[in-house]
Amino acid sequence: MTQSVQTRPGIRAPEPRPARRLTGGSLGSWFLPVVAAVIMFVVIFAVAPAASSYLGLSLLLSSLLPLVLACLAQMFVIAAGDVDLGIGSFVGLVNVTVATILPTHTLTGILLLVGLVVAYALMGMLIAVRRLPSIIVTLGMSFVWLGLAILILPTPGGTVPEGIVSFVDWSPPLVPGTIVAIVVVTVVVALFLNRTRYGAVLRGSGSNPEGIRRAGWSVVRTKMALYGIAGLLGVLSGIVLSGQAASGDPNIATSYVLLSIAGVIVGGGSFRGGDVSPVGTVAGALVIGLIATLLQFLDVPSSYQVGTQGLVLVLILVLRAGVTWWRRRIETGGLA
Amino acid sequence: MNVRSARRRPALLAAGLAALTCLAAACGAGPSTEPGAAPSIGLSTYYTGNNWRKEMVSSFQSGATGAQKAGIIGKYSVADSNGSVPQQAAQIQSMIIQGYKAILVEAASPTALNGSIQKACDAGITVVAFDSLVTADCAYKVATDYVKYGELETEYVAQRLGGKGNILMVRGIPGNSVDNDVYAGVQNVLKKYPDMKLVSEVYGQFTESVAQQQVAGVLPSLPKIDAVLTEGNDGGGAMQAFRQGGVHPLPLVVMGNTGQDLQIWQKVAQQVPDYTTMSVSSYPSMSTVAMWVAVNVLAGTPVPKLVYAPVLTIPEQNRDAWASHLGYGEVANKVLSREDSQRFIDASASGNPLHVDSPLPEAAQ
Repeated sequence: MTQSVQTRPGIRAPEPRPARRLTGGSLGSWFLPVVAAVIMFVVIFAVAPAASSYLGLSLLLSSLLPLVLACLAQMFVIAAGDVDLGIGSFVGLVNVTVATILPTHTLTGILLLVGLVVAYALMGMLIAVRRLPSIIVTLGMSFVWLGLAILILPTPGGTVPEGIVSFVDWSPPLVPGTIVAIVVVTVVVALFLNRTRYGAVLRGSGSNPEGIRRAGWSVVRTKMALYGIAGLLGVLSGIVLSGQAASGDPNIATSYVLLSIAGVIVGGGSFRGGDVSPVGTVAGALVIGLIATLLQFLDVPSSYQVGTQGLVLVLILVLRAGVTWWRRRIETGGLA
Repeated sequence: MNVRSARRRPALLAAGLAALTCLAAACGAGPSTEPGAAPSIGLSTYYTGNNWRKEMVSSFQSGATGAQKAGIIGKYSVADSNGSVPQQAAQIQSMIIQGYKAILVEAASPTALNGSIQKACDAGITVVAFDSLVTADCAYKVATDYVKYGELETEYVAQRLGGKGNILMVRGIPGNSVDNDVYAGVQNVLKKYPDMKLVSEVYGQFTESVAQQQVAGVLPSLPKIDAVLTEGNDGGGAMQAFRQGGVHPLPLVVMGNTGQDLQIWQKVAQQVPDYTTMSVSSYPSMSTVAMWVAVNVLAGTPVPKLVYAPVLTIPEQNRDAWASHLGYGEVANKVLSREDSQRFIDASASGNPLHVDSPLPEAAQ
């Protein structure tokens, strides 16, 4: 569905090359998070061989799919040079909509979900046109999402349509459905952002909005597109989460706000804008989601689990800073 | 599609994932659980940051250590999801992978874990939710009847005041199910006593310091208060607000089982010799009751789907024993034994559950 956005650019032919810096260097910023994720899988499989079976993998990964989608949503906002503090309650609102309105009023439910994506795009427009700080706007909107969700469903409950539950539970032969979903989503987003003209424009609008404007693109529209895509991924995250939970709870995803930001940053992104990596973000989401599981498999006492999670994150970021420094040294050394 | 760079990110990713799945297929082994071995039990909680929860976890650990020594259960562990619902769902699913025979759940959401819990049940695992429950039908439940909690304290206050007086209520957290239930119980009893008036309500968030601030904040606007109803971990704070406000005579404050509550109660009783009250809160050792429910279910002994754990009350005569036993920040608890748990299970099965337990601290017995 993200592909449809690609039809947006006009016939004007600019030179959208603003993101060259991104692909410079021998290894992409996605490399470290991917290595970290692979190491985590290897350790988990070594400690708990049952985790590598078909059932084990689907149990391990299924609960991570909504987080992966939320991290990708956050990635598009961070690509715009902004931060989204509302994604958690937004996903909660989607969950509540799916669990209460969709089963009885299917059409209204679908329209509402589409409306939520539009609302996200409009939020992007507001931020771009009025030059408002995204932290404040998205924080304010997070209370709107949560308030709406509580209005629809004051106490947790509701039932998610059977179709969504079984769709999310999809178990193809050989490879768990979750892995297929993660791969497909990653490939689609990575292709769109890295290989299409409009993807380059979108990244460029975060890192160099002036350049994009001079090239004849509307910065307001690119920001709307970025937020719209974020909203779409947020809705997908909420639908998958609903299918897994089978019921609604306005507060189901409040932890996603910080987890998704951490996922993008661990995944090689930076707050500079434009500097994000879809593959890295997905790996970052897996790392963030798997740390707690890993500690659980290693039988770390519960009192140390929370603190250790934070330490592992900091360790990864320190490693990343080290790698960046090393790469820069090699680059400058090469020049000299 | 205009392609500029010759990056091969997707290709690399695909290769990496393919390698992963191969690895998975190669070492894919079933859950390693020997038949006949003592069952392993995992406890999944979403928060361990307050005294009640710490007491809850440590009573599970001491109960489980004993059961393990006796060869009744095998491995046990505790996992904390740090307040996150999806994280707790992941935690439960990891416990399925780890091959636990029973999972005890203190749930972050009454509904959002149902999918994971259903997966556990489908895998033949016994799931016991306790304290903050889940709606999944396949899970056994160990609950405190918080409506009874509210009725109990209000009934006590009504007796003491002779069915007449002004009441201030320190409630928990808005929208919280414990708060809703206790409040419903309070209302049930107040209906019977038209001369008892609930003149004000504040939210103390089950936290002594917050309760103290909130009560102090409304104090100047209140008429003479005869009694204060509470919901646990808040009575001492409420009493402090009255003492610092120079209120005389002090109202009857229902205490909430923390060391702080009991010490303040003692202090007030030294100054005002005829001051008496009671203290009540839920049993942190519900976790051990949940464990014994799981053991029974695994052994094939019939257990009702809903088992009530009583509230722990501290009447006047037990006050000093508990006050000297508890540290300032501790919560009254007794590690409930298998026999205790069996009593609760049997009482719940007979349809006449036990709602009140007034033990002495273990050292004093």
